[in-house]
Amino acid sequence: MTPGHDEAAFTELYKAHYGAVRSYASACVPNSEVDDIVADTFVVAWRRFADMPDDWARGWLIGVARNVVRGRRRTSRRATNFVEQLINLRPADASGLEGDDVPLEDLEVLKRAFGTLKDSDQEILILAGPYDMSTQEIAVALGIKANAVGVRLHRARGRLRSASEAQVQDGGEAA
Amino acid sequence: MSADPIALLDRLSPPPGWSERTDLDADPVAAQILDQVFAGDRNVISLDDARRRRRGIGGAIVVAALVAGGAVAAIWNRTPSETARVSCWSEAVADPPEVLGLPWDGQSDPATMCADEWSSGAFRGSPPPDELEMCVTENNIVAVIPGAPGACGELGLDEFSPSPDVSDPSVIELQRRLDRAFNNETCQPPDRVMEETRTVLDEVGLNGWSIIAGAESADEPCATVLLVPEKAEVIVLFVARQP
Repeated sequence: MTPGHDEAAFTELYKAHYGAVRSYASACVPNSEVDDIVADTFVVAWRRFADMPDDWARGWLIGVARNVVRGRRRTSRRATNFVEQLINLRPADASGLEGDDVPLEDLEVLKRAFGTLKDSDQEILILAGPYDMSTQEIAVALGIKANAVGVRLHRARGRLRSASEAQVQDGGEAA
Repeated sequence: MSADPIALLDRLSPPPGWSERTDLDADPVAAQILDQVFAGDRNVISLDDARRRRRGIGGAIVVAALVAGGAVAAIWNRTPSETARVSCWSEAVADPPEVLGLPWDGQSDPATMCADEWSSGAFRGSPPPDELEMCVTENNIVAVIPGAPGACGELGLDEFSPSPDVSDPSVIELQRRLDRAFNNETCQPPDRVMEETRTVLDEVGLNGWSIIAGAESADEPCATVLLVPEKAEVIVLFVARQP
């Protein structure tokens, strides 16, 4: 054990956030790679336990996981469409959506529109949307200031709306 | 589209576990990963290792080809047996205080990968060293250490040279021919790869070479090849379809 590290405290942190890291990894990489992303994330977390902000541990861990995913993506040359992953991950007997049924065509439009966005837009939209992370938590995860999160999120949402409109328009013209 | 895309996005559920606390007694995978973290052996991507062992092929070979996308993978001069990972060392000492393990495709420049990590503050925010050297450890893992040329030797480690070591003209011709045959498509049908490889081996006169095939699976329908001159083998690997 590295001096200064507290296994008991780290185990508590691990129990609290293992699920979150696994959930995030599941949206970023194929199932076959999730275990490795989770493991590598907590290896870094253990080494840098002393640097972890107590109040924003989950955001910090998601930031580490994000870097691990980026490192792996660099080697696999695979881009991630988060929404496609999320929709594909839904259980066979459920829509994957909370609330009322949503027309499949709307989901398809969303998926296509999302796929046109750059990674940084997809990332912040996913963290603020399905993952429902707070502005401060996202700021910790992305390593930027909370104000910048607000600005980026506003712009990303605008681009998603524009992209969705374009997809609808393209679909209408094609029909 | 009738629904507001932002509202629709907000209604998507994240994958399971996001807000759940993990019971280590009930989740053996979680418990195993934590054990690995504490044991300090997660520098090795053990789950990947297990998959490679199931394929029955040396780790270096499989991973080096995973991103080849049909291309014939290069052969390193000092071939490490573990190319799934590059280790970035915080100090050029025999037992560095911090070692960062990075997934490696076997082709990217390890020094650049570690330099990126230094720049991103992975070593407690320490500034990147002026020079990095690539070594091969006793365990046959590529280690990138701070230091000038010769730093590897001072630690008793071999230098790692990412240059092909193929001197036999027939092997060079084999690599060139296979590269030309397979490098233009991202997913090669296994049957075609096997047949073409046999043909090229015959044509370049490497009759003593063997073709060894890994295990095909539904998730990995594409074939790629890797040459191992020192064993006179062409390895046919099955890899996932590249987007």
